[in-house]
Amino acid sequence: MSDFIFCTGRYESGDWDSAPTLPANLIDSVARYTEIACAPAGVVVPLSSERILEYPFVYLTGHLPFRFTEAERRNVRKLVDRGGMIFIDDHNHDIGGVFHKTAMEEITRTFSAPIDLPNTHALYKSFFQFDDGPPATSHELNGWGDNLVHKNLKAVLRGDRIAVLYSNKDYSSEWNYHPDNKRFSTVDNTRFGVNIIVYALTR
Amino acid sequence: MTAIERVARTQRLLGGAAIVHAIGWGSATAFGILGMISFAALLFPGLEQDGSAHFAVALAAGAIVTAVLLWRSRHFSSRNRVALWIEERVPDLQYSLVTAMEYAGSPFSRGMEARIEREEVGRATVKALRRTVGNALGAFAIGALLLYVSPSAAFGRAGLFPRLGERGPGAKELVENRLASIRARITPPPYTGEQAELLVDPTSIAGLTGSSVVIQGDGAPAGISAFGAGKALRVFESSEGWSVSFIMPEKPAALTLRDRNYERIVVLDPHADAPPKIALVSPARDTTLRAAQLVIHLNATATDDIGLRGAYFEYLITSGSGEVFNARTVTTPIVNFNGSRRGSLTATLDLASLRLSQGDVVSIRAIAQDGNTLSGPGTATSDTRTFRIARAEEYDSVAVDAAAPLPVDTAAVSQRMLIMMTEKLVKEKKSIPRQDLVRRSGEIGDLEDKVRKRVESILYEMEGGAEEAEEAGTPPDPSKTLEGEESDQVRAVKNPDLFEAFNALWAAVRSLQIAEPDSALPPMRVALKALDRARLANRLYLRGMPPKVVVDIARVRMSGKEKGTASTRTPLTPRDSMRVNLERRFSDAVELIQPKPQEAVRAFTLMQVDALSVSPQVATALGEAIDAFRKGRDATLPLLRARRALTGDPSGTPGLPAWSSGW
Repeated sequence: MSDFIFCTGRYESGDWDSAPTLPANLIDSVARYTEIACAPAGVVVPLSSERILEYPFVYLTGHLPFRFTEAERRNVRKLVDRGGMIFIDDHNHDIGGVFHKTAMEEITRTFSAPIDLPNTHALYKSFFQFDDGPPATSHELNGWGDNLVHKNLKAVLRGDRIAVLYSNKDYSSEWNYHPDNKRFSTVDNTRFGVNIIVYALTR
Repeated sequence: MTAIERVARTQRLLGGAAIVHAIGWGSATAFGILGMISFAALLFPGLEQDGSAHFAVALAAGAIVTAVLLWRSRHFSSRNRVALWIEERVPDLQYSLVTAMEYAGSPFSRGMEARIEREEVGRATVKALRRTVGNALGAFAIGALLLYVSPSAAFGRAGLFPRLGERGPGAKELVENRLASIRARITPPPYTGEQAELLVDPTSIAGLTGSSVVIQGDGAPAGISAFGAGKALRVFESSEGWSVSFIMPEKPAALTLRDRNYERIVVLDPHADAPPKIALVSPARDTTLRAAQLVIHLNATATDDIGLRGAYFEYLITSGSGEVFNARTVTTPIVNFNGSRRGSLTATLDLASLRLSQGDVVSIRAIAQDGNTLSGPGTATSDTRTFRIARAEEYDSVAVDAAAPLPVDTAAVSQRMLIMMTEKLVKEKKSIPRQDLVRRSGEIGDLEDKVRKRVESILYEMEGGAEEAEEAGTPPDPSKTLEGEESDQVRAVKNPDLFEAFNALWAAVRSLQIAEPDSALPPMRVALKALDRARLANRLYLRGMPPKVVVDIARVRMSGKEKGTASTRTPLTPRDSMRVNLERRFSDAVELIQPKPQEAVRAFTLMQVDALSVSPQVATALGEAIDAFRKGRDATLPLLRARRALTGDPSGTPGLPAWSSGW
């Protein structure tokens, strides 16, 4: 079995690379807390390339309008049909923002309309226990963006498995720092990222 | 006739009457249930679907009633009880019959026999049983009549009493299978503008989802039931015989028609109105412009399998940067295609008319809608092309790596801490000695001065103005920097927030160093706000390849302590489970061809319904095989094609296989 490689999806329409240090941070957390064999660095793969199908977990984020080209749409559908999971995070943390509007439209068009993921879902227990659902980010608590603390994540399910996980909580800002700085935090705020990756790899 | 002989005769009569009574009421119960279900089926057509189950229920109820009544009459098997029964109905016997039975050798037996001889025991018995037997026979007759007059032929005249049913209307047709010859008329939805299609004796019906389908056959509708797409369908009488109408479902389904013991399954093969397709032909690629001065010629082509309603272009204009973006959407008027299957859309966009500024992005796409008024309209969007207006800074530094946040971030945090320290000092000012106040205020002043110097270095270090400012010991005058754009202090003037912070920090440092923390607080707060504004204003999102951060997994794991607990893994469902299931069902159906050909055809028909969504090739081959079975032809070839489509081509091995064991 090959090592887990964190894959950031590159799409044509927006700023896909707006959280450049997030992959390393989550790789660090997966290595720190789990025994999953993981590659020390992530990869950036264009969604329009068939190579995206080699990765079971793909992370997407951005601030700008989010639209798939036909090739990208074809590949992400294949990825999900083959059991892969896509995690899309709105870097604007703003439900009135262009990323949210266009991403919801694109997810609905490509897969189906996402639903509110119940806070009792297995995702919140796949490794660490999050009894209150998705942890709030400092950007939500500071009142930035849409000035809301989003109670649920959204998801497109295939059966009872999450195929596409969508977040308005701006984990891309919350986790976008060098992993060496983690030692200054009393509580590691990337633990939920571990849950997402463990869920994607085991369900 | 002795007393014992009389009792024995009465016992036989009672036994016969008990059996007739029980069977009569049991039969009446069964007939009544069947008749009532038959009437109820008029209101609930689904009740007709499983006649055998209803028959079983009625039979069971009748058997239970019969058994209960026989149990209640079980005492006729005892002669003493029978004698007492007679004594009860003929009181004049004055127990002489019972006594004669018990004491057969009594010296009074002759007298008792004579007494019994005088009474008409037989008449009393018949009189007593007449009502019981009559009621049972009456109930039997009423139940049979109810069943006879019931409307459903499955239970009534054409079912249990076919001979009696010959007097009813349409009874003659019941002799033959009314499902042997059927006709199907498929009328597509009005928006398609297509003509209706007539199929004669079809095994499968293909049509657009939402089409109106009418199945017709010869004969009266009585006794015919139809079940399709998960619900019972009502069978009507039409001028040409019976008919069933329904709307073509969204998914493949089986239409099951039943006429008494005859059954016919027709495969419903719906196809959905596909959404339209649209391609943005021009512009062909994304573009970055120095200035928003370009006239773009837009061209898109749209196609649809049935008919297009219209199409238009959509422009999404995104402005802003960092954390703040604004977007506005502009659409062109809809171009009407009037139901044609292919259409072209052109427009011209003058970027100058959009009043774009640097960094703005215009996303252009074409959107088409089809004329589907049933489940639509179906909408298609083209790929998006973007036109971006470059920022001026991009030309100064094309290849930039993402950098860490500006140092001013840390300065802002320190400033907040210093304000808190100063506020604390102001509160304690009256309770501490003057000497302590001077010392602590001076310490805060020193820290504040470090912040000031840091801001100063950001402002002037790169521009070479820091030394001059330091030497002068006074903040630079912004009015002077405005005089020429080539000045070293242009950057400072262009960042008024940092400059304001710098000035306020100067004032705060002065107040703190002379032990006046109260007067230092206002400029400190002004500095904090200005630093916050500068921090937000300078938050940049750089494009390009992000810096590669390689995690030292081994080092990380050495410091790992919390292991956590992974939950159990849930295996995924095999992807091709449906195909495997079809393979198994195919093998089972093939086994049925010789012993039970009708069941084999039924199994193949139901397989075809499921295969339509899994493998159209299998469904086509099965359809041909079913057709061949119905027309008495050889179905081997289509069945071979179906098996090949299910299991794939046989894999050949070039040459002889390698030896798997030694000599």
